[in-house]
Amino acid sequence: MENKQILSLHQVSKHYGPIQALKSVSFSVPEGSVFGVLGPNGSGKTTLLGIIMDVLKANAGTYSWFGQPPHADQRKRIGTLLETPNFYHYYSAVRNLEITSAIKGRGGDDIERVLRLTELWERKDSKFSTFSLGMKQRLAIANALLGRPDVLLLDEPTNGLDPAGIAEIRELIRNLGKEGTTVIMASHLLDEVEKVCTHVAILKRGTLMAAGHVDEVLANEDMIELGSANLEQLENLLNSMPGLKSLRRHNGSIQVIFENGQTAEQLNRSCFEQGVTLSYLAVKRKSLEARFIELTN
Amino acid sequence: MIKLLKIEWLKVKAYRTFWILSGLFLIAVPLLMWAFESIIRTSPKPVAAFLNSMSFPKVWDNTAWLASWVTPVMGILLVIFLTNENNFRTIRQNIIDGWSRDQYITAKYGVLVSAALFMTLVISITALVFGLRSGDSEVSDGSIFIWYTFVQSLTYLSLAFFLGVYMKRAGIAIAIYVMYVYIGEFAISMLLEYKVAFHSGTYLPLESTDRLIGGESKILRDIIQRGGSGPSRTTYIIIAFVWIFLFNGAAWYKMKKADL
Repeated sequence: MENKQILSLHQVSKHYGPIQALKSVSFSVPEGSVFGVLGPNGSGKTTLLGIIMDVLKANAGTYSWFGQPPHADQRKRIGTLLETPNFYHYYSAVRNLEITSAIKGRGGDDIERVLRLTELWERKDSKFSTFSLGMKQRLAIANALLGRPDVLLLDEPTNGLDPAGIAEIRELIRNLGKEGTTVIMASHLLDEVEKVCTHVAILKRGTLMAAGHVDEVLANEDMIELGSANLEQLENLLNSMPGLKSLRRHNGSIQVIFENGQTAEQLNRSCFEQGVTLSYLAVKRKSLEARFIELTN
Repeated sequence: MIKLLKIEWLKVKAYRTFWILSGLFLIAVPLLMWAFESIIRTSPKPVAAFLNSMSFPKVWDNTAWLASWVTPVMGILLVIFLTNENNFRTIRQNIIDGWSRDQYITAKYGVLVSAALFMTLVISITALVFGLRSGDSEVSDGSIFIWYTFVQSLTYLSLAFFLGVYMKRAGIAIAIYVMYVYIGEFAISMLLEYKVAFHSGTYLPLESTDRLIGGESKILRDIIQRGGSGPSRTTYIIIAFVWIFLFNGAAWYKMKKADL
């Protein structure tokens, strides 16, 4: 399922005057993935999404959608929410979605479904200008879902939503991912990405820090926590092992990170063979937050 | 093209500003003509006979000339229509949803030409009605003014189009447009005429079609008669089209290349 690339970026760069917003960014989004583009504010996430939707022009580099050079018709298969909800203020929700349907070359038969899904059906005839921030965001999500697109591209999709709304949208994204829709989502909320994404790309001031499967980006950085009756002896032993990246004592145990992918099982065996019996052994997956802070600081 | 225009129609068909401003133009043209007819009818007979304003072919010329006073209403509508797309960021959304930039630009050119056709239609029907009311000449005399009217409408709208694309804010764009149309160009052309060379004002964008359709204002220029008779009508049309291409070309360049 994941052998096909939905989106590929190759050396994409963009500057606004002297400010370099993106620096030779390359990565691919596999089909069926829920792909998070993660980065602090101003890291270039929206610029990146703007370029692949042709509303911003890259200064260098190329990208392809569905393995093809970019073309407007490809965007008809992509449901997009970019930065802010963009609608005709003087029109109702329904009239706005009719325009989108017409541009996408579809009939208006999907409008009721998406408005019900985003709980806007009751307000379908209200003018966009009378909507609250959260409702505007819901309408933008409804707009993106119109016509059941193959790919969803969402920029900070939970902006302006209340906690219940945030949970609903996350659930929606997860379900769409399960149904096979490829979701590309930009966010500065780690928690959001960690909860729903299968893949992640991390941006820092326009530079790609890491990209790949969530497990890959995080896996080789697993932290192992060990305990023994003789902590001194254990510490000396661990310090002598090849590939040790960091070691620290923490609440009566020792936390270590190995660069060479040392597993807990291997570590347990090595300690036993060296005459150290472990009283405690746990693998702590490094949280995305820790990884994110490490990469972006 | 029809498909693109249908979508543009969706954007305005329930937009109140669109109906109010179009309605204003639709009412103002015959109203102005009616007022003008009343003046002519109550003026002394020799003057009325000399001017012969309400008969074909002059009625075509005069209707188009008077209508050019309200033509900016349609220009303002076009400015609002274009700046709305910028302010609501729907230009972005249209592209995101699957239009190419070329399709977006083509759709807007379609709106421009449709508006010019609407204006030509309103002016032509008004001229026809008032000309027939005077009832003493051949309808087809001077009907070339229908073409001139179209060129004039297109020129006024092209300037609005240019401003609507380049100015982000509707208020500023409208202010510049109105000031230029009613005062700015008149002042510049008079300075050119009387400080540089007579007839040099012709090369300004709106002045070329204003002189193409001079109406009764021609009398004044004929009285002054400096530097011989002005350029030919073909020259006026060529100048107008140079400006039309410049304004629309610049707008095309911006929409094609800029970050939206």
